[in-house]
Amino acid sequence: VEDLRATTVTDDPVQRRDLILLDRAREGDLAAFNDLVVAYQDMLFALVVRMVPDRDQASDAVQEAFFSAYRNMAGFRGGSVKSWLSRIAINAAMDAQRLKKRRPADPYPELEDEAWQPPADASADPVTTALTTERHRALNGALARITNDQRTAIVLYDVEGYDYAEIAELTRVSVGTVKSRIHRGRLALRGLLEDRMDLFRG
Amino acid sequence: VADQRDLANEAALAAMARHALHDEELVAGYAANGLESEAEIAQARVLVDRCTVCRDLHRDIAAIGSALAVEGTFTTKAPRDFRLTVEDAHLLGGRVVTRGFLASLRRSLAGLARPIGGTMATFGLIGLLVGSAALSGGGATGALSGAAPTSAPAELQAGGTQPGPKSSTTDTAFGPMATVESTRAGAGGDRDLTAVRGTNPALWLLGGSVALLLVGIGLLLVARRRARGTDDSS
Repeated sequence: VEDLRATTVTDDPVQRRDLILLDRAREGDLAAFNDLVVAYQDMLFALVVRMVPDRDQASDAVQEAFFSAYRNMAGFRGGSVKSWLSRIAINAAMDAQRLKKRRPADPYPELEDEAWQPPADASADPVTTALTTERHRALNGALARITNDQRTAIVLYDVEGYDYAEIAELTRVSVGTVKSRIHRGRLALRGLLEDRMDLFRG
Repeated sequence: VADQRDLANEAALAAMARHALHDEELVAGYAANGLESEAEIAQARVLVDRCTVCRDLHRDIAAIGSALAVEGTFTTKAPRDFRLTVEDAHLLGGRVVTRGFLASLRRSLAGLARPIGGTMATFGLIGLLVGSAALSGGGATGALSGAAPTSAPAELQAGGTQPGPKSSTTDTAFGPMATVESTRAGAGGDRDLTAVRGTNPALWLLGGSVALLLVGIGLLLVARRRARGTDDSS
């Protein structure tokens, strides 16, 4: 087993912790792997449920992602464990989307908006917080109604902060296709939110 | 007022009619700063400047973009615990217990590496010194009186043959070569074989000591590297 600490030098304590945990997990320490699961399960679930707006399916996808990560630990070649896990989760989410495409009769259910927590900002007044929450609800509802490809591109670009090239690599399409999906997706969102644009116009 | 309203409606309709020919995706790309070619950017800018519908579209899409960026700050709890059970791990890799056992074994051995390595290196060094002294000081059989068989003088007396060049051959030859030399000795073979047996322990001691020393040093290095790794991780 390759010593990850020897190959990857990082000053970020979280990243160092992750590398140590992964190193131990690769030696067969299941508890170390589960520490990584606990550290990232909420973050990965949030990412996946945005791409697959069905909590049950998103849960299954996240579980599958952790299974896949466990199976492929030996293939980790250094870098950020968080990025590595995110990529695996994105792949699992896209697999779940493909599965859903084969059963188009079941629409995505309404998201449980109460499960989402707005950013903790003590200085924000209640009106601002309420407006942010209302925007979030409207946006999430609209996101669930655009195509999987457009939603994936928008979530990865606008919400998760990946750049065009990274999204192209993750989704295995050209950069031009990624841009087109993002732009069309935004147009579609605008069409769906037309009656509620006053929420967003500031 | 009615005339003014009609004029406004006509203007809006005219704008809509003109807008029908406009590329909304281009405007959306412009709003998202997603255009690269200068020509496209210029074209989009003209649309946004001159067409009210395109201007509204640009503003709305930019606002949606800003709202999407805030989406990333919303958090949610995973609805269940995704930790793997031992059964899961077995199904996925089937080696978790074995690997865990090996890992703990490796850790235990790593803990013992320093004392064992130190002991082995010490014995190796002592062996090396004793072996060297035995070889250099008056021949292997004499010097190794403690380790070598004491029957040599008795056999010398019994055979009555003076130690000659043959015995010096056995001093330098080692292993199979020494055996060959001793079997060539003919009548004095018994005495020479005994001499070969007397030589072997010193050489074997030297070889063994070197091996012991090297393994000991290796273990010490492993223990040191392990200790450094632990320091780094803590």
